[in-house]
Amino acid sequence: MRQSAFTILTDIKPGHVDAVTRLLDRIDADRGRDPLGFDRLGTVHFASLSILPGSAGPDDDRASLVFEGNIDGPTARFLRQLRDLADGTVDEIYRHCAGHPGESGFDLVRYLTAHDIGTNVFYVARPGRSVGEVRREDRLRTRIREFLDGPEGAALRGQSPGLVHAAIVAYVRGRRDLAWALDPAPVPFLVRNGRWIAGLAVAPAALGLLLLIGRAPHQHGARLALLAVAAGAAAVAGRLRSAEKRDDEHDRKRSPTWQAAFAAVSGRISEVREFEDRGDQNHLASVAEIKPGRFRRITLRAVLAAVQARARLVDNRGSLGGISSIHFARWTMTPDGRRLIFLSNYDGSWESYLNEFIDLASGGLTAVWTNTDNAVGFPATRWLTSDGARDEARFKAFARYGMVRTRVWYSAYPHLSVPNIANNMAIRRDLGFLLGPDETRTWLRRL
Amino acid sequence: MTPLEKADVQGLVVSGYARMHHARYVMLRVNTPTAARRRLVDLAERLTTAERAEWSGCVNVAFTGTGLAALGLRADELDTFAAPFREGMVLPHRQRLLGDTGSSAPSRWQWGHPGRTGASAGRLHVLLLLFAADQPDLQALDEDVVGRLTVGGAFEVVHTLNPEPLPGTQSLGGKFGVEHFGFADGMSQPVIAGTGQETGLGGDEARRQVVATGEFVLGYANGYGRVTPSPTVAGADFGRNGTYLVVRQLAQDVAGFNRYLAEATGDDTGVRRDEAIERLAAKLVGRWRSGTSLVRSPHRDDVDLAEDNGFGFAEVDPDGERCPIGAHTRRANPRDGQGDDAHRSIELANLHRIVRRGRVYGPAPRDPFTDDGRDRGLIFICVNANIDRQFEFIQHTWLNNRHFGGLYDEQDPLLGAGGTFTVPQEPFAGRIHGIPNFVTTRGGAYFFLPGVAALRCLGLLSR
Repeated sequence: MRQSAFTILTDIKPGHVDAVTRLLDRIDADRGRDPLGFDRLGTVHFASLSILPGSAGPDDDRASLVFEGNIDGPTARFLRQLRDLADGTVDEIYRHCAGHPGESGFDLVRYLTAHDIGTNVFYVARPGRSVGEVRREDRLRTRIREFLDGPEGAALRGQSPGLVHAAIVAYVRGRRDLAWALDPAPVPFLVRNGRWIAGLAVAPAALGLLLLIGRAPHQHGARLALLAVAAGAAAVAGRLRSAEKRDDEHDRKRSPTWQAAFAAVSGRISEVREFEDRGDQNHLASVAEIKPGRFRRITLRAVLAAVQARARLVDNRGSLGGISSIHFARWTMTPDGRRLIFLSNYDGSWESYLNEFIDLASGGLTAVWTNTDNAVGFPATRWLTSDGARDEARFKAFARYGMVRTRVWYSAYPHLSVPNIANNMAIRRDLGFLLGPDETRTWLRRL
Repeated sequence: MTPLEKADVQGLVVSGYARMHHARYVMLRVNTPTAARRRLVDLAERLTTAERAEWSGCVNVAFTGTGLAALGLRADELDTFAAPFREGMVLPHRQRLLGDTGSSAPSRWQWGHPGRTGASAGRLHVLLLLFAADQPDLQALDEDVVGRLTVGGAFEVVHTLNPEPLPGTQSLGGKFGVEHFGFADGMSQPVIAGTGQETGLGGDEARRQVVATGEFVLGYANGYGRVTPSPTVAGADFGRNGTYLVVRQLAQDVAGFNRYLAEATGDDTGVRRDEAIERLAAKLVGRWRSGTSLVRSPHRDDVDLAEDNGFGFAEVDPDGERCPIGAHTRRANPRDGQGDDAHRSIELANLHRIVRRGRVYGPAPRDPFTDDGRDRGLIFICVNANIDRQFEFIQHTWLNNRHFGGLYDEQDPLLGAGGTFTVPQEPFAGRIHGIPNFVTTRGGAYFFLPGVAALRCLGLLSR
């Protein structure tokens, strides 16, 4: 089952921000009753609704609503199901948005589809795993664990690993609600083959360059071509570095200072944090202004395309750039090319998430966010990927400043971490196989 | 590396004053700001610094955010302090991060609680830490220092904490304190670079234990090679050689702990099996009572290994079959055991270290299995330059994290309540359910521990 992402961005009608905020807060407070039907649909991994402020500062009342979905199957089908199941509530929300006529008989699905701005990067920790599978595999592990905690398990203490494994297989086979687990789950094509496809894509360019270098001493044409490549690269690098120096210059004149700008919004940050750490997972919604000019926009597009390729082909097994606490995340540029929206569904606290950014993936994150700005400002960057996020205090302030309070948030499996899901997958994967002694031990450790 | 300006740093940063067996923590409220500031100028001369730590009668002082406001700091100046300090420990979001909910909720605290009574967060302004070699000395020190501060009503004492004298009723060769559950405590401390304490350490041990000066003192390079933002007062750097202090009173249910161990290991006839009790206790804590790590001695306590703190998890015990992944001390410092790269794991773990300076309070119970109704536990004190990334991170990402190290839904076996605890072993892990709550927060606050010069400046402010 393939996962889809939608990012529905709609302008809120002037004067309607308070009303829609109240409505969303009511929906969130009512989440136990599944007011939007996400739980009943059974195809939503994570979903959120947040209100983005206007870009012109605190007095700008042109706010917009962003509806994020991380779902199984295609968006069009999902939106139709959503309309059928939670029509009243969804319609009630969008009555506050520009373009909605405010009366019934309105084609909501068409409206939502038209406002879906998609994603530039869509990261899925475990591509192909449906909500149903994640939940089923968790049930499998829970049942096996209960079996081992019970009297049968006590009898297995001291037995050989092979015997314990066999007893578990027999137990699973004997239960009608678990027998499905003995058939291995399909692994998506790109998860199986992404790495060599990535290699295949990079190889010709690398090979071509090597060939040019090899021939250059002998062939005039090769020399010229190599020179052209080098000149092109140098021009881009020079352009980049001069943009960065201009940014540094601009930053020195920043008024108020970034510390003061950050301190000034402490009330808003408290509001954001009020939504955090209610459970073991968290949601992050943020927006930053893309630096003016075509160069930054193009650079950002290129970086996001590279990150997307990496997420699809290489980082498709539970970790993105070494960070293994993200379930679903996305970067989306607004259609006017002026703002970058980041939405993430992750394990643990914001502080630990940001530390992982800095400690494990600062290069890639710097390459993305260095093209953006806010009142705190992204820390000084060199050559696109250096420094930047490594300036811990400033980067955290930048990231916090850009955050908006999530108003409605849904998680299909709030009690599972990304490593838990991976572990459950591995338990099922090796359940039905005859394993060697070491593999059996490793498998039993997973329980 | 920049050496620490010891004459300007308060002694508590580099020393727990182990030779000062008696201590008292006095909490004060500012009554008249002008007079109070004048007293602080005198107090600055009386402070024990890192340079001349241990002579009889050591005095250190720290301030809460409300305390600095009461002393005349303006809102824009307070804004330059770290957010957790500014906001205080009592905040719904922070309570969730620190686990201060239920019976540990601030509304039940003895000090630092919300409201306007006693040593509430609004009335707790100053923490005075007094240390002396014996009880008469401590009494004299208290009368002298507190007397000077309170004369004329400049300050008013709102609460006093009296930790148990060292080495306590139980001790381990007098070297380490023993906390109330009966375990040696304070075994593993980071060594602060630039203090001179790191000079004897070489190679591997240095890599594991020596941590950048700026992680514990403001004004120096931290673990990222940067200088942590420092507060500004009256246009000048107020943070230099200062740091943040976390103080929490953690009550320990000793009878509950011992009864639980006995029940969980007792056979059908109810006979207590000492060995099984010791083994279970060690699994929960991650160390034997002597302090010996389960990594070093997996099957029995071995006092000879107690001081061996140079162990890791990655090589010998990656799966927790010796020291469970969720054991209290493994959570509190995962060392080289996170991820696949042991070296990198230590580097990352060392970005979240604290220097602990706490002491035990309350007498040991006469019968370890009977609840005598007396309050006892640990007055936890730690030093760190970045409360969010150090103390709070340890609390929420390691100790209170239900998914720590790949675990499913577990809590710290000492700090959590009703949790499950996995004990990895062959051929498959055992699980313990329904571990009760043994530790309750009874008070807490964040303080700023200024450098001596900064304290003098504070005293000389004219406002």
